[in-house]
Amino acid sequence: MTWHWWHVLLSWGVVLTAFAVLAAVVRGRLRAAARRLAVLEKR
Amino acid sequence: MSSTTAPRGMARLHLLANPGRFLRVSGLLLPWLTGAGLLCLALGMVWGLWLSPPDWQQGETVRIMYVHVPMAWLAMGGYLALVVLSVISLVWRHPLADVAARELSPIGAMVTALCLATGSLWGRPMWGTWWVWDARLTSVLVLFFLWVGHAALTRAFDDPDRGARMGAILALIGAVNLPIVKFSVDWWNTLHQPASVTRLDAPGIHVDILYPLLVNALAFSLCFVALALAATRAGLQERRLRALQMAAARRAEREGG
Amino acid sequence: MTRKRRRLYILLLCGIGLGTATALTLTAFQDNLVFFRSPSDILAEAPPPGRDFRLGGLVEAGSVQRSTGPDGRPHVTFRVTDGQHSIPVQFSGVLPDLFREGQGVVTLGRLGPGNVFLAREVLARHDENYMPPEVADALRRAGHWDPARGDPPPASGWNRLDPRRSGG
Repeated sequence: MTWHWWHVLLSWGVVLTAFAVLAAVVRGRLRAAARRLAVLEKR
Repeated sequence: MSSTTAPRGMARLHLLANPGRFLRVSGLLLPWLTGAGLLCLALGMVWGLWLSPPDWQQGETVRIMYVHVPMAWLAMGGYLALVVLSVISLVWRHPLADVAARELSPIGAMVTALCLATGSLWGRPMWGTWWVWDARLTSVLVLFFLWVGHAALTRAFDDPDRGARMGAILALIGAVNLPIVKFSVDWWNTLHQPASVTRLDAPGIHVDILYPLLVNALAFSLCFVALALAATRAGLQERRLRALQMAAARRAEREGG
Repeated sequence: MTRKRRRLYILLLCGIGLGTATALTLTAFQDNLVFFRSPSDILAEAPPPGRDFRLGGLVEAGSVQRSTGPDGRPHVTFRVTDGQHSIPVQFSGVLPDLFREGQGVVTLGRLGPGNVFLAREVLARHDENYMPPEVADALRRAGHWDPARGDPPPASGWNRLDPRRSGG
């Protein structure tokens, strides 16, 4: 595999990883907020 | 969604009505957006990395375009959305616009950083350099700083309304950079090549390379919108949570005293 | 209602002011914003001797001569043209992969004796046209395009060509 291909795969890898990480962070925030809201509203 | 009656002391009740509708509609929309985005992304990945032909002069390296160009479009299109939200925020003082703008800027900063990173990875094998200070690259770097600055400024104040207003002003001042990014390649000599897809005559891209580019652009746009909607939902719920906590604290204080 | 309208007008006014100021500034600094200058620019207004600047244009067809310098490094001379004028360039070192006759290049260096441009760095500048190799070959065989002589023909003529048929 040529170094040009490495640059291609690295580009795709960086982009997909960044989107996946951000999606996981937002998902975590949504879940934490929903959990704490449920606790508060029960009281 | 809002089953409990709003606690006393929470002003601007009428403004919660619209965020409530936003939460309902976005909650219905989000799974479809995410599903469509992931489906397009899978198609775009197979098409872009495997099925599409190499370029006659750039060879396989042209496949970086399928991620670089969507990131560039999203960095600029997202900033346009931020400008619209800022106008709504400053003129109509709509709190939903404040929350959406605040949640949009980290995502915008991310796609702009990805645009710069993939551009660098593309520039090294093709131009022979990771970075040059030409008008296009420099103005995109400025765009990145604007995104980061907006994200930091909206979070820098104890009073979120004040942060939102400062952020909106920064976003509107930074809007002058948008035409500079877009037209820098036409106005000045740059190392970066001019636009291919949005030319006045036919796009300078063969359909075998153009179609996977458009599929990937659609895929990343759907993912971007889904991320922004989900983040705005999270922001709204955290805001509601804070309001409820403050109301509970006030109630406890009153009962105790 | 009037307060909102007033805020909108103030915003519009600020926008017009800011836009005008930016446009004026950019026009004033036009010369510093260009990344490179063309051979015609250089010949019309020579930069001060001994000052580094960037020269950009196309590598003139038939002008590339490669040799090995006394230090064993690859040495190349070529001419950079913008269609009207051209300037000879000397460069020792590794050229980017895309370097060929008819390719856009941006070189950094200074003018030496005899108005020869002594380049320290050569960057390739690819154009905004993308096509599969088979389509490029078909255009070349049909005589529609010689890549050594510059840009391909208008894109509407080739961007829907079937590479499988034209490749045969």
